[in-house]
Amino acid sequence: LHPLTNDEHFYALKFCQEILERKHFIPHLVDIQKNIHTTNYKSHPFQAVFCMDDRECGLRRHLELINPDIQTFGTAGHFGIECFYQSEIDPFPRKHCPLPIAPKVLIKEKTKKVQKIKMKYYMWLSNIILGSIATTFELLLKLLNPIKGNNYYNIQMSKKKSLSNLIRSTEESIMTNNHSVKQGYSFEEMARIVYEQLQIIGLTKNFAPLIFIIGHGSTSENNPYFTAYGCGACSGRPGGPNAVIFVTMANMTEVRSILKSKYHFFISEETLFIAGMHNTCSDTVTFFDCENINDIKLTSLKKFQLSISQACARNATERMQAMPNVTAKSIHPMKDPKLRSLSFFETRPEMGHTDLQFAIVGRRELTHNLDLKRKAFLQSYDSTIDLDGKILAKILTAVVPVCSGISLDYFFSRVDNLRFGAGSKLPQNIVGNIGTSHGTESDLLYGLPIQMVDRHTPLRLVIVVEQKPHIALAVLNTHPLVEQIIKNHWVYYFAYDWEQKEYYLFKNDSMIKYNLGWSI
Amino acid sequence: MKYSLLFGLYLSPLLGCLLFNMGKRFSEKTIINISLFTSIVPFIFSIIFTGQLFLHHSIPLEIPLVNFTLVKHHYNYTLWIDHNSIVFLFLTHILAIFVIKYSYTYLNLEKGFQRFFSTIQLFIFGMYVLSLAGSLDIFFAGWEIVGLSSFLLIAFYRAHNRSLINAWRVFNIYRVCDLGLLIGAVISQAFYHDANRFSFISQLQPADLSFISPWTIFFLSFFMIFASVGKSAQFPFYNWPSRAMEGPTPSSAIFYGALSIHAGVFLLLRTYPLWSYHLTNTILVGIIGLTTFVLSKIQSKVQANIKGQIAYSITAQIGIMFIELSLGFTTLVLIHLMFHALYRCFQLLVSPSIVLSSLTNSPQFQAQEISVLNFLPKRLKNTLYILASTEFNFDNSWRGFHFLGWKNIYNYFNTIAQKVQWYFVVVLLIILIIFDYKFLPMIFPIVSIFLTLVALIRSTHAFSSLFNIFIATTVNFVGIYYWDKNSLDYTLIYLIPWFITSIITLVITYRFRRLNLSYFHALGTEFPYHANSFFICFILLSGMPFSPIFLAEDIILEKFIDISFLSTFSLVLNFMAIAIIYSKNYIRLFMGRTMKSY
Repeated sequence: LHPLTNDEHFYALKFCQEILERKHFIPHLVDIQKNIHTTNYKSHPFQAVFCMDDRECGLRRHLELINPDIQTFGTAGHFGIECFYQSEIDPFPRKHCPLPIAPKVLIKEKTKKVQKIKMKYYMWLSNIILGSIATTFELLLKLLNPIKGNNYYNIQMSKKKSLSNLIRSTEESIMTNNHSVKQGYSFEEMARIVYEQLQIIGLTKNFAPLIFIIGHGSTSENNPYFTAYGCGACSGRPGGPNAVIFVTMANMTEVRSILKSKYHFFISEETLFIAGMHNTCSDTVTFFDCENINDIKLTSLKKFQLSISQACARNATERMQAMPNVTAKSIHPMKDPKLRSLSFFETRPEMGHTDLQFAIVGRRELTHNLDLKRKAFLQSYDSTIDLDGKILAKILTAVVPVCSGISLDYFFSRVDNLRFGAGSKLPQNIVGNIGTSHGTESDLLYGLPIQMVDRHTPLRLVIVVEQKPHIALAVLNTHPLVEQIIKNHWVYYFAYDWEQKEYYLFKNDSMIKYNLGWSI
Repeated sequence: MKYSLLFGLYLSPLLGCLLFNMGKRFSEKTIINISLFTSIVPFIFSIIFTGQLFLHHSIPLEIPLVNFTLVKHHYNYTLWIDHNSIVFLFLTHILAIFVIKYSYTYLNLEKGFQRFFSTIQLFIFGMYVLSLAGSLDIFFAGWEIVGLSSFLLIAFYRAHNRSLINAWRVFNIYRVCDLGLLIGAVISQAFYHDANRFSFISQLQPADLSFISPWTIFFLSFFMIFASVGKSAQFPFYNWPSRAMEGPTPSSAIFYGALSIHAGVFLLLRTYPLWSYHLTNTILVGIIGLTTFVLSKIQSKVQANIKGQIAYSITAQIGIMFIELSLGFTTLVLIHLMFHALYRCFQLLVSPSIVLSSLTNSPQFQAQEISVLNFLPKRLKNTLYILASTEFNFDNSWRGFHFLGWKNIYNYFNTIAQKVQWYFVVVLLIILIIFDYKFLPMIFPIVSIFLTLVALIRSTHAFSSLFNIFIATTVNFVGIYYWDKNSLDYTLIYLIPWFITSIITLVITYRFRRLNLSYFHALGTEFPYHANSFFICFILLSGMPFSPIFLAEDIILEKFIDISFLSTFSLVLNFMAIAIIYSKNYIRLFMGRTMKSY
């Protein structure tokens, strides 16, 4: 035996990596292949649209198990709305859409006066000696009893949302964050957004009386990386506002009439959209603007709330068991997810995208009742209504950059945490709302801290598309970013032919039939 | 005396620290339980004890602790309990328990969990000693322990070269200022007996001091002020707290937000009757405070990072405390210190949440402060901004001074140092001894100082610098022997442990003699036993409190002052150089991140 040369060393490493990846994804691919799904054409009383995020995966499974009447969908968490959003407590507008997109619309929440009065009181208080003593004890109490605190997302998740300028009144454009934007949407734009979004997830007929649009966000205290726990499709912001905007649009009679006349898309008056937000850290779901609902709908809403709170509880217990240091004989003091989300002490409020490995684009029937262990992004897509692959192309432009970005972020931060990641979270220092540094003198840190990735297995993302291989291949040329990511093998790209139950892997610019045995 | 055994309870954090360093790995739960136990037991004792004192109105109180004689030197260790020490003690108790509880969840699964808690316990023990000390000797011991634990926690992340450099830097400043305290303690003991004890200092009347030479008192107070300036980060040294924020956030909070940084103010409170006797000193303290306040207030406004901002605000507030001290408001200072410590500790602990609060319209982010700076003309304002963001060129000008003004002298000295090897010096000395010149006793300390400087300047390689400092100390002691043929009676107590530890370190570093100290070599993982024994030798040699060397330092310095001032100065320089060189060696050899790939 001679010592390995550089090339040989590289091939050995590559081989090991591929073996590891196969070991992790093949059992799940086999599961999907074996999953006998019964297509159920009966109309469901509830439909719920979630973000495609891997943390919603477990919640959806539990929800469907608890109440089989609920049909769930998954889509990118901005629900097709690309806008700047300014809530009542934001000093300036923030982007609520995937990072590469430049929004052209600004939407504001109505401001209240209560906040400002409280601010003045604080300013007066903190400038005198007594004030500083009072602040000391307030801080002490806040540290010891976090539940009493009122934080950003608690305010963000207040149950009433009133949007001040959703409907465009003028065509004037204004400048925000160096973008020229217009205020609000016109009715045609709203109808187009609603139509495209519902078409993407395959919800074109059999509308339930109640359709829930549920975004997700995360609450954590004392944590500079809170946006890393947020919704990836909303640039790390909570997806609640997007859900509210979508729901307000879809409930408008003007929009529905345009949908009917222009897109031949009939949503009956019975159907009501309701917005909600799932807090992935404390595992609670809040519903917005539920005051003006009639009694019949209210009883069924309560029914849904009951089952989703049960699902959340089950999801939380399952999730907490996978947390580092929290086992049955737990030694960690923060066993309660609600406490974790509010505690100032906690460096691991939740697991984030840990163990992310799949992005499955297809009908829910493929993965129904399948325990994917919070590993998969689930994007709903109905291949039967998409014969030329146009919808798939649209989906892939959103799914591939977002999912591969998250996956590679975790991958590299885990592989060499000191170089590609941010090291430990403990000594970090916040630099001018730009980033974090180690102490006061280091360079700005990129990547994720070790506390977020230490349970992650560094594997490349596996994208599974439920579509014929030739269509899946043809779709790749539509967007340069998607093409680059897939053709340079930053991700695995599978096409799953459901009728023949065969997998096709993208390799050497073609789709090759993939054998799920142990041959390579 | 009936209390003295119970005061052993204050040793419990030290025992916890030692337990964690026995080589056994404990689970996180056990570590937390032990740490909480060792900090709660003294807390309960303190409550009962001070309650008793208040009931019987017996504050202030001096409690004799240990009483022994070593080489004709009488050691009398006592505790001194007054309002200052009670405030500082309870501040320590509360913050210690709080920070341990905070760190439990915060440091969960972190590498070095056990190391962190052992160091925190060492620090807590140091703070107990500091706040209860009855004389300057013990105060110095606590002061040293706090400095050492501070060094260890700044260098907590051993793979980050920048934190190691900063740790070394802060340790050097601490060390230089410690020597101010050491000299002060020695002078006070040498010139009038008992002046060392706080019970004596606190009852000083101006009449008591009138018959002592004003220069002595001036120097004594000057050294005290110098020591507290270093520890509390005042004017010439006010830049270090922002650089010291390298350890985990709870450690930064308890050290530079709360306790360690206020130790200098505490020293000035303790020795207030002594240094306030001279108007010069009070004015000096006031000027230092004012300068620090102005400079760091401006600097804190231009800091881009939150911890740096808090660090400069802390030094500015301590500047105000210095001004208050110079005006004589001692009670106000105590109250100010207490609330400032609590407030800054919590502010640092929640500093990562600045992102969230700046996202909202929170007062910290939105409030437009009404400041004098807003009324300045624009040009002056911009000038101040640039100056403040470059730290008033303070560090740079030091460096410039060093490289321009002193460059020639430095180079000249360096060439001499390279040519004159130690054996030339030894041969010269032997010749001198043989021929017995008159000025011979003067020669030894001068040569020793020269060799120490050589060791400091040429500390590029591990072995050579250690060897130089070894020779320098030897030469100095030979000189003392030449003065006083009976000196071995009292120098041996220092020489024996010094010789053993020096030889061990020399043997260890001989193996790595070719390694350049400009780089980090991270040999600690490869040679753990070498690293550990080097570290133990280092803390013993640098005068770890209650070690033989610590006990001997007092005796030697006191005797030396009677014999020759030059020898004393050279010995003090030696102590300083030993700590600096050994810490540099330890950091560069055994810590850091190398470019080596395995």
